Amino acid sequence: MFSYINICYATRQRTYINSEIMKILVVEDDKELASYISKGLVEAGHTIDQAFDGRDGLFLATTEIYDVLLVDRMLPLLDGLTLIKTIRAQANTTPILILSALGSVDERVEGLSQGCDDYLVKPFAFIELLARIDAISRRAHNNYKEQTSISLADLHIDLLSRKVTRANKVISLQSREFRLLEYLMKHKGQIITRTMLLESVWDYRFDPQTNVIDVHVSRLRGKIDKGFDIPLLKTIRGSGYMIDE
Amino acid sequence: MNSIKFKRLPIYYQAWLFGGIFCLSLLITVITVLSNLSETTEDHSLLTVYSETCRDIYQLAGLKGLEKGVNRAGFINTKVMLFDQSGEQLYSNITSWNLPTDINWQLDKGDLPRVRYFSQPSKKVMEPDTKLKYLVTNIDNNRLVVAQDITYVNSEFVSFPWQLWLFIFTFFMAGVGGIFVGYFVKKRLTKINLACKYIIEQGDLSSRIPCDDSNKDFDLLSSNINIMLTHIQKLMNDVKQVSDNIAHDLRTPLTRLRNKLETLEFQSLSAEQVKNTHTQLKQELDDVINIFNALLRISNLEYGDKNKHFSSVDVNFLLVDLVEFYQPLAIEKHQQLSADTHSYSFICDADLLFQAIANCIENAIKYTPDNGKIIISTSINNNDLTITIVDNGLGIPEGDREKVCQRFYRVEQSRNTSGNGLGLSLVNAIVQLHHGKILITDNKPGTKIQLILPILAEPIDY
Repeated sequence: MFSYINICYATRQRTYINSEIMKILVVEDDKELASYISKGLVEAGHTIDQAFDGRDGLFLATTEIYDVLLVDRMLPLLDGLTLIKTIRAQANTTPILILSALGSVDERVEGLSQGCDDYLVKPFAFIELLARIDAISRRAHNNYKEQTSISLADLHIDLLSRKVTRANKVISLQSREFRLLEYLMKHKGQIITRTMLLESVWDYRFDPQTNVIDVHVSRLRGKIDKGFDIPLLKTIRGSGYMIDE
Repeated sequence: MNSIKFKRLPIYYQAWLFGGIFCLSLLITVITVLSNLSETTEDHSLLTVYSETCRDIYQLAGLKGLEKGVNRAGFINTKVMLFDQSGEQLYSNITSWNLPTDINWQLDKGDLPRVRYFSQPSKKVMEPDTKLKYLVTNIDNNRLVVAQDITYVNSEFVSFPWQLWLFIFTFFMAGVGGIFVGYFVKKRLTKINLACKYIIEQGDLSSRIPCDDSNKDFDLLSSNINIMLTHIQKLMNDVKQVSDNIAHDLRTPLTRLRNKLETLEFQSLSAEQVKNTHTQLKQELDDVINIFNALLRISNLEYGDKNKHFSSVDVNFLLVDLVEFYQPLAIEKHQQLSADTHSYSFICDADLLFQAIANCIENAIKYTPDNGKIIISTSINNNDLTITIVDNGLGIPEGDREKVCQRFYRVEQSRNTSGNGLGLSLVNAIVQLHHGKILITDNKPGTKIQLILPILAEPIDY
């Protein structure tokens, strides 16, 4: 009746550590892009449903239970924003990520105000998509507001007193460095891209042309990893950073 | 509706229409004047003068004198009669026309002499009704009647032939006038139209419509079209230059991309090398995408919604954040980056202003050698906020200072460093969005960039 393909869970080797197995609905009318995304997500270990127009997407989103919805903005039959509004109106809080070629600040704001959790502009790097899917699904499951401290191996950060210790040694961080570490720790075990860091840690929406984010991260690394045997803050080549044991 | 239809008419028809309206109004005027003349304001004085003259002659010289006097005076078209009390005709002059017999020439008692009218329907076909006007006065118990035939007085003017010819003539003159005026108007318009048509067909925006001082209105039209052409020409050149630049600057990364793909295809590489090449390929593609994004962003700023996200921002906070953000980069190059500011709240788009100053700082860090010094400062004078970024680096050659804000323009010696030549274009677009301007001067050595932004009274809400 409706045109979606259920891609069976592929028992392949999981490429990306620590991501949970998720059931994801991809609503995207460009079949080539949809199959590219689905293939990538299946390789990452997720289960995928696909819909090629807004109506099928809405039908699936309301009848099945998903961990994350990926929705294109411009869809035939029913546009992405209306779809999201309809889902949210039914008190469905499934994390939603918009994929769109419309990328101006206003368009992003419009999308986010309709109830989506993140907004990714085409063209995008697949790793970026994956990192963001992980981030929004994690955000849905964990409530960090109630958490007052995060630990990873011997690194411990206190979110209230903003104190950082590693192996019981106090590390003094500047406020921006603390925010950087806090964000990475909240998403420990997940790949965090440079854009995600820029969007979350700094208060301005802008576009640096230089590798200044890398320099910030390497300074942070200098403070938390230098002099310890096991490096925690890792660079994932070509994608971003991850804090992990 | 009618006015629109009228505007659509060709100029000759307009002239003729005006001619027609003119004739019609003339006709109405003439008819009104004539009808008034014939009935009220017609010259009664002549009748009165005749009558008084006759009475004077009669009283002086009697009946004989009257007879002689009337003949000698030769009253035109006028009948003079004298009746006694019993109604016997004492005197009547000879005229070409005869009075109807059935008029009672009585003057009522106490009635003052006044002009009366008499009308008798015509008996013959094609002949107007007989119309008379007459004046009866008493002289020594006799009645003096002075009468004039006015049958043809009115009908003559309203009668068909010469009146019609008059109007045909007037209409003709109006038409000739219309054609005359229309011809010159059309001649000028045709000149302008032909010039425009030539420009459209040949696509030659450098040609201009000839101007002379013969006609102020048309001259103004021509010169306005010329100004518009100059403007269009400039815009076209800009677009052409930008697209040339895009073509050129995209060719470089695309060529590299192609070469790397070929390397992958034809050279036997180890798995590690293939992976490296893939990373490089992605990087090249990302560069291309970034160039497009930057271009789109600039044009959005130039032509998109303005003032949309304006709010009151503390410039001090903004600059402190900027310095904090770029400090690690400066430290890497052992440069000294500092902001010398004080708190001032300014209405602007914070993200965009941050981006603009960030671009300037990035340039300063990039083009200032190690151990250099970069200082950001603000000053407020009159109605402007000036943000100054000075460095003691390479500086921008004087001839290039005007051009660095153009898209893709890069100073010759910096061509080998990374960058896409869009940084200052974006700064320029942002500053213009804030109705300000960029001033680039020499810091001897180094560059001094001043962003001069007018202070708005209050946020503009949309």
